[in-house]
Parts: sequence; structure tokens; C-alpha cells
Amino acid sequence: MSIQGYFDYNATTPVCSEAINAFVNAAKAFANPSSKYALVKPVGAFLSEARESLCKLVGCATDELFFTSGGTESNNWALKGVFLREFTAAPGESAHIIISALEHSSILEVVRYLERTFHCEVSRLNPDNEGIISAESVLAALRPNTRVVSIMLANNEVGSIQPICDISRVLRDRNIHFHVDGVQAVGKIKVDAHMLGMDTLSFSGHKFYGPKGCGGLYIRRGVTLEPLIHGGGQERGYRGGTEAVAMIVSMGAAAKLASEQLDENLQRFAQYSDLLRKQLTQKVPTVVFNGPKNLSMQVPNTLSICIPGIRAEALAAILDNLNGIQVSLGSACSNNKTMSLSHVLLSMGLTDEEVKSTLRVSVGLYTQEEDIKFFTDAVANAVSILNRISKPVSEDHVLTT
Amino acid sequence: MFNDIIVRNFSNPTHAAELVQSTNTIELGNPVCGDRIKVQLNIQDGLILQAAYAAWGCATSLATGNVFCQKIQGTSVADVCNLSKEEIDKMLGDLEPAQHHCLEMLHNLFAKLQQTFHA
Ligand SMILES: Cc1ncc(COP(=O)(O)O)c(C=O)c1O
Repeated sequence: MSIQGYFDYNATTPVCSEAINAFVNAAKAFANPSSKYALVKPVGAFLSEARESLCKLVGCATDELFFTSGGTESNNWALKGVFLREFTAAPGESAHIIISALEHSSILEVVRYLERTFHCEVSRLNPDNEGIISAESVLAALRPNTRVVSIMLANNEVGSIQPICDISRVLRDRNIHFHVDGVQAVGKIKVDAHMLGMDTLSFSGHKFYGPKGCGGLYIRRGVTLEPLIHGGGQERGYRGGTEAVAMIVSMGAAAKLASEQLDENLQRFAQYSDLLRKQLTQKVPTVVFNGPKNLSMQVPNTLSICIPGIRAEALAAILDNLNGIQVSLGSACSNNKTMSLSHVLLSMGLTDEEVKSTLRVSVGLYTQEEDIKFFTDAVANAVSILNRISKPVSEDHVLTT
Repeated sequence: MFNDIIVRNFSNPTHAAELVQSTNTIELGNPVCGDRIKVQLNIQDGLILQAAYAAWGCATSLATGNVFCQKIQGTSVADVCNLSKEEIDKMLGDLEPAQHHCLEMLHNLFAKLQQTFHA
């Protein structure tokens, strides 16, 4: 698979060779980590080393980190785990949950489930037009029965970075659980769980060059969660199931690399982002960039691009089939009757037409500087094809069938 | 994912053009996803000499306009009117559920052409 055209690193990343080698190595150490004989020793050592690498990447202690099957499980665990704990402690009380409207479906759908099944009250906070949730808006939404707040650290579509530290400060001493979906941040920007001050933080290996189906949850010391998966006492009794040793070790190798290269990558991606903005503005002058104006509040690998008048779905199809370039979209036709539009972009106040004209570009470890030119040239070419096809059609020509 | 017919037609839309001389125009829109197609025709003595289109919409709808023009250009209106539903169904190849609205558009284009002729 060629990766010169891969501009969708937020969807997933290629597995780095360090992670592949670590996987193969660890897979050979087959003993069950729960067994008691000497054969287990190297397996235990593998797992400890991986745990340490992840703790370094997340900024926490080893007793605060738990391995899971990925970001979705971690988010499910954090929200359901708190809720079940609260529910047992105070049956009959209706709990209030605050989330942002920007969250990933692995938060949105869990909350919808809690709302449906346990009749909790839910506030969904809209961000400002740059995709930022302020600590003030969280403060204003608090109710006496607020039990959980869940705000993502970095958004997957526009890359906006939320003021987690400020929100933690607002929630501290109020006995409200603060969960942070860190899936799009861990491995990409500096994350220090202790400094950020949340209670739980989720991460996922495949977003930082590790394997898919492997991730984890940071649980601050002193915070208790009901397990999501009850079982054989693995992960200190908090997450049942024989450890996915090779996957965890592989993710550990990726985490080690991510820690080592973080500063260098941040610089490189900021430079790519700058090049992308400059070249696109030059080649497609109508282009607009969604997301934070203050670039220090955006993950530098992510760029949300709106080209007014162009249907992004058609643009992406041309990029894919003509140039072998992969990007993500803010919208898609889902069937004859509906069109699905990005809830993230809508919550930022974009119009339906703007959402239909938006695509997401995300770069990563294997993006080279010359790929940026390849990409922006291809976009300019695709835009001219689409303009040629659409030229004589205007809004006036719309006739409903 | 797009099938080969769709890819070929949206990446090389041979009939995307504006006719200086046209005798008939067919226009269509899909109110849900906002796809729009306008087809211009040059019909002389019941023969479609030229068909050109403009479109704004998803990749499959752009391809649909081209498939339609390619099929009818050089054909008599009478032959076009005789195309069966099954024949039209096959023109876009296998579609995913999200692309099915374009087959509906294609049928509507043929229906409008027939109406134009019979009017
Ligand atoms: C913000 C965010 N949260 C959670 C997830 C889910 O993670 P996983 O794919 O590991 O289940 C994703 C993945 O796309 C994400 O972008």
C-alpha cells in the first residue's frame, strides 16, 4: 500500500516497524500472564515495559493505567463505570451528565444509552465557531445533580484542543467525575494527565502507529470505577480477560517512539500545516479553514478545509480515483432520503452547504514535504474538473422532482 | 467505494459542456442531498445529435449525467423512449445504498426526456 497519498491519519495510522517487530517478538512469548510458573516471567516483563512506556506518554503512574481494547471501550468504561458506581451508591436519584456536542460517537452513543435506560438528564454543550468549549460554559451548565462531565481533549475533525486544565479547575472539589476522551491527543500533542487534572482519560493505540483494537484508560489514583468487563481479575481486578499481550507490547513500542519523537513531530506537522494553508490559498483562493484561529489551540496534524461551491464528496472521489489520495469528509449521502452531515461542523455553526463543502486533511509520520505539493496540486486540479462540470448549473436551476 | 462505470464517468466526464445551440433542456434536482443536473439537447428530426450536461452534486450524480448523455447522443428519441426499466437499471452498474438516489435521478432523466418528446 502506497502512503504518499495518505492524508487521513486521524482515521488511523500505519503501524510503525517498531510496533510490528515488538508484536512478533511478544507473540512468541505465549504464556498466560496469570499463570504462576517461571515461563510467565518474560511475558510479565514485556507487559511492564509497555505499561511504563504508555505511562510516560500519558503522564501518569503505572497503577493508574489500564489496558483495554481501544478508545471505544475506554470511553464506554469511563462513563458507564462512573454511572454504575453512582447508581449503586444513590439509587433513585436522577443524575445529570454534561458533554460537548463535539464528542465522538463512542461518547455520544453511550450517553444516549444512559439517557434512554436510566433516564439521566443530559446537557450537550455547543462549542464556539472555532470548535472550542469554554470552562465558563461548563460552569454555567452545572446542576446540583451533575455527576459526570465528558469533554474531549482534541477533536478528530477540526483538531481543536479544549481547555481541559481550566475545566478540571471548575470541577475540582465538586465531586463531579471528569472524563476526557484523549484518543486524538495522546501520542500527537504533549499530554500530562496529572497536570491536566481529569479523573479518567482514554487513548487508542492505532492513532499513534500502534495496532488497532488496543488502547487504555487512565484512572486517577483514588477514583473508583465499576468494571465494564468483569472477569478473571486481570488489570488489578478492573478489566477482565486475558491480556492481549502482543498487541499491548506493540502499542508500548509505538508509545515509546511517540514520546521520543513528539517535539520533532509537532514542529514538522506545524510546518506542513503552514505549507498546506499557503499552497491551498494560492491554488484555490476561495478556500476557508475551519477551526481555531489561534493555531496553538489546534493539533497541528489536522486541517479542516472548506471550498465553497464544491461538493467535498465529489472532490474526495476524484482525489482517490485519479491521484490515490485519501481524505475524510464532513458529509455523505446516506440513502435516498437522508444526507448525513457532520455533527461537529454543525455544532460550530457551519451551514449545511459549508459542511457539504468540507474535507478533513490529517498528516502524520510518513508524510513528506513534497507530498504537500502533490496534494495541493491534486486538489486544484479536482476543483477545476468540478467547476467545469458544474459551471452552467446554478441554484436557479434546482427543480425538485 | 465506486464501481468502474462511476469512476470512469466522473473522472473523465466527456459530455460535461455547454451547448451553444440546443433545442431542449432537462433539469433535475434532489431536494435532500442537493444534487442538480441540467442536460442540454440538440434534437433534429427525432435524432439526438448532441447531449451535454452540467451537474453539481456527489461523484455518482456527476457520473450519472455523463452516462445519460453518452447513452442518448446519436440515438433517436423513439429508441430512447423504448428503453426498458431493466436496461436503465443496469447503466450505472452495482451501486451502494448511498448511491441509489442517482439511479432514481437517471430514471427521472429518461422520464423527463420522454415527456419532452411527447409534449
Ligand atoms: C475522538 C475519538 N474517540 C474515540 C475513538 C474510538 O477509538 P477506537 O477506534 O480505538 O475505538 C476515535 C476513533 O476514531 C476518536 O477519534
